Amino acid sequence: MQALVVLFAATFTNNIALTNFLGMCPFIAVSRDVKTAFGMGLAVTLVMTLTVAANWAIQRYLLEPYGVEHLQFIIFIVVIAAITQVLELAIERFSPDLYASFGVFLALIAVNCAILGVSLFMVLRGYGFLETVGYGIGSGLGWMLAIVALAGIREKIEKSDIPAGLKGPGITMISAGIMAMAFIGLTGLI
Amino acid sequence: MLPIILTSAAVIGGIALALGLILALADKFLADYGVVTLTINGDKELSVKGGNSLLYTLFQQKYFIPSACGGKGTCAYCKLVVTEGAGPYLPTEKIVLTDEEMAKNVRLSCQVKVRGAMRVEIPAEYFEIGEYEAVLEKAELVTPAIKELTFRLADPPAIKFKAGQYVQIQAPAPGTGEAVYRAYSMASLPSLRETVSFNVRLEENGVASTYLFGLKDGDPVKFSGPYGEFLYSRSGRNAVCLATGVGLAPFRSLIPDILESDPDVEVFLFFGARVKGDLYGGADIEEWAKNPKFHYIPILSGEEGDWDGERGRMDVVFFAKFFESHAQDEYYLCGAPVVVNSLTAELIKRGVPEGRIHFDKFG
Repeated sequence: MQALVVLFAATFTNNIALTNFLGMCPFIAVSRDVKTAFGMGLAVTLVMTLTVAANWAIQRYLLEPYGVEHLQFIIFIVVIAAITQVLELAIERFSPDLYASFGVFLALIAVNCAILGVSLFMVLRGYGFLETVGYGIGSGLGWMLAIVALAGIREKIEKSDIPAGLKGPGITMISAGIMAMAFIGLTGLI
Repeated sequence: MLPIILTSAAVIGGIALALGLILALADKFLADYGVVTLTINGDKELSVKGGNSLLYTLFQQKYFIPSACGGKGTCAYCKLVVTEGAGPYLPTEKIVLTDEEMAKNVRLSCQVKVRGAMRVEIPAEYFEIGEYEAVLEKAELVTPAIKELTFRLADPPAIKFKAGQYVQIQAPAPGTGEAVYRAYSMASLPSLRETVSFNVRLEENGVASTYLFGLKDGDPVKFSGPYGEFLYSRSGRNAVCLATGVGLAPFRSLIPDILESDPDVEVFLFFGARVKGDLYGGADIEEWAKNPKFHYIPILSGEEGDWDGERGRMDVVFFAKFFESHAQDEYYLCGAPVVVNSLTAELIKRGVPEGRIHFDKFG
């Protein structure tokens, strides 16, 4: 039950992209059309869930017992990189169709700070395993929701007449900001 | 203090070892596609190691496909028709390929991986492309900013190319030493075979031009080629060649080719430069001028006191004074992209069909 609450909170009220503004690089760069944004979001959700679960186990059974929590950053990053790499190889091998839809994003995700952020928040907030998995899935879905929504907005903006200086990343940042404010409206829901 | 350092080292070492092991196993079992069959143009079957990009795999087999961006999927030179085994289109391909190309199974060979049996069509002209090593034989400053570099082929000892084509010279990027490739037109006759010349303009912060300018006699270079479709069309129409600056380079093979292959065709070379010192290739031009069919019109845009030739910007002068008598001719343009683009646009506006305009742009 608690895990579900964490999941929904991570998706809506504590959206990693819109309240923490993490993972901004792909958020701006890969949000040109809904389809690509969806692929990217899917990849982020998958990687986020797997890495946060793996990092939870490493934190719980290795870093804490040996009193070496200060190694968190470096170890989490290495684990994330290795998991994305293996995942890319596996998806490419077993599902070329899936690979075609989001395989290329996996390499980008290895250095996405939202992924590392989720692993670090998980430790700070002292989640148990199920909550951690819920948090991973929820954050991923939340990030996907945000990027797909932004891509939808950008597809519309494409056709509108905006000042030349604001075209591209400029208007995208403003849209993301307004979206983030809108998400504040969900505060207190969960 | 010591125990914590030791524990940290042990934990990092252990995790690195475990992850390394997982990656090695994944690489062995997941990335190993074994030996697969690659069929080229329906008749030639190659057994190749799977798992790499099609471009790289073909390169290993000594099939050279044009590519300028180093496999990043941005230049789109490496397009090939893959009829079987390429899998679904990747997002990186969809960015650069048009719907018509995708309907014809055109793929970016740098993005497509060889995972199983694959059938690919390679255009016949790519079979002529090879990799060459050459050593610098002569370097001469022909204008204050342009050097003419002559290389003697070492391995293989001769090159076969068509007048107007170019090669991709390999240069080391400053700092990383990573290989970058830049296109240079052959500025010498195809019949020489054992030597090739290039005209290199020193660009500010230009990776390849700085490298080439710094070469000394006897220094080796590597390039692949020949590439390019900037060839004489053999249409029988008179040829108008518009060149600015270092854009003269391909004409040094193209103009003799036109004069030789079609004795009835008149060739007009309009050469735009700033001052007299920027006009180069004098010896070649004198040689061509022995043929009464060749006409040379240099145009200077800068301040030059002692000059009784044409003055002004090359395109302005050409369209104001010469275009009328050349409306039915075939056009060959070479120069900086902005010059070539504006010339092309103006020619089309004045009714010259696109099929009669040939160009070679350099970035």
